[in-house]
Amino acid sequence: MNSRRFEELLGELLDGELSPANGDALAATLRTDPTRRHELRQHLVLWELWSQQQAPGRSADSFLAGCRTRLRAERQGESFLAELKERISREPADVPAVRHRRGWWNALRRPVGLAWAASVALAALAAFLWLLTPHNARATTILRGEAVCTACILHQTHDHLPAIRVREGATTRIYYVQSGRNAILRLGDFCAAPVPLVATGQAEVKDGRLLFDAQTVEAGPPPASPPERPDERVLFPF
Amino acid sequence: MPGQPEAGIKHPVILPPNRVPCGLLIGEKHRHTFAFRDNKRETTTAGFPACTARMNTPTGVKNDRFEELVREHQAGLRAYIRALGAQDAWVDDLAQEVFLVAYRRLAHFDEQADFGRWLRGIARNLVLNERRKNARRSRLLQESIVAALDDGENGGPAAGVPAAQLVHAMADCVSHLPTRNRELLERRYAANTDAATLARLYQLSAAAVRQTLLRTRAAVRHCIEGKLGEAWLG
Repeated sequence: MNSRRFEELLGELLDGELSPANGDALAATLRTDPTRRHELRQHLVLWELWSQQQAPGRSADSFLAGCRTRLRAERQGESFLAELKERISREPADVPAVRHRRGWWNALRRPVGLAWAASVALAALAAFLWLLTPHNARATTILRGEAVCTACILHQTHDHLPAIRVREGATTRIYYVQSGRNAILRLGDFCAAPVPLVATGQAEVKDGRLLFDAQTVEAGPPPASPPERPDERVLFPF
Repeated sequence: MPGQPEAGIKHPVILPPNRVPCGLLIGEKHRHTFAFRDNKRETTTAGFPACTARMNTPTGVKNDRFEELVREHQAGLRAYIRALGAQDAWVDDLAQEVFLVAYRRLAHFDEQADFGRWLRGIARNLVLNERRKNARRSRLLQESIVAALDDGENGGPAAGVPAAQLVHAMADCVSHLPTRNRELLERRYAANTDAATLARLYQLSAAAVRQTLLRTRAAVRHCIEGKLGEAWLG
């Protein structure tokens, strides 16, 4: 292949207009000629860098923003999957109940089905009455505080998990969130900065730590608290 | 409450409360300064001090310097990926994937090693994986060309002249081009305008535009060789 033809094909490649046949011809000469291979490589590098400088959508800031978005999506995706698994493991009976609603109605119209339904209703009534008595040791608790990351802010774990920090006067309590993590994540990026919230759920003490099962989580007012400690600086808010 | 293990969390690394690093504040190539909760700072050039073992974990490093590393290496990495044979439209996508992989594997990165070289290794593996995929969905150039480029000689710009120096030289070379050629280059790359559109804009034939671009590119490449030497690519 002469120089003119090579430059022609090189130009087509750089402009994204190279046909498969011409591509094969170019590849054939590249395989045998290291000088031309080096020249192509130089052009690819040069015009890539030039494109980064010229196209606003390819600036360093745009690229960084794209990286940040993808990392955040990855982390939220992992969190969403974890919560979904948690919910599936908790509520296995709900799916057939919805799927066979029509079947339930047909069964109730038969005497055997009616007797069976009555026994279920009696059992449900008994369970309801039992719940009304003070058997439930884990009372509902309302926490007014801020969500913080156990890795970025508390520096206690490898994984980025939410905890709720509650300040009452000079006392600070950390509640480690066991369930409802996605609801907290939806309020804001607790890795970047503490997220004020009001959480309702059940707390318990286990091995000297406060654990919290969040049932409802809402955005809360910024807590009246002392200024943040220097260890809360987050330099890379992904 | 450092010092207390967290329920349900794997492998917690607990350090004494006053020795927990809260930031990697300054980092050069092999030199890092760590800040600790007791407001002391320690600088190391020979790896991490024992009490900063946690900084070598993904969490520790992730939260501090990664953004700066992305900013520092993105231009050279993107150029390297293009030179491996990525299609221009997919270069940024592939480069972001490289940074995602690096982010996940930071714990495995040897602090003494060259971060850019490590990134290029990840990029190379990513491109190899891409080549094994279905060609119709490939983000790479035609397979025969990618195969021809895969000769083990591609060091990328970071292996020769730093990308920033290259960009500077290039801008200087382009600034000395005739106005019309410079405009053509700017229009071609600012909006990824093709030759046919440029031909309409300049009332030329598409072939004439292609020919002008070809000569302009060659002129810029020769100008850069004159400034940086022939081995600028490494």
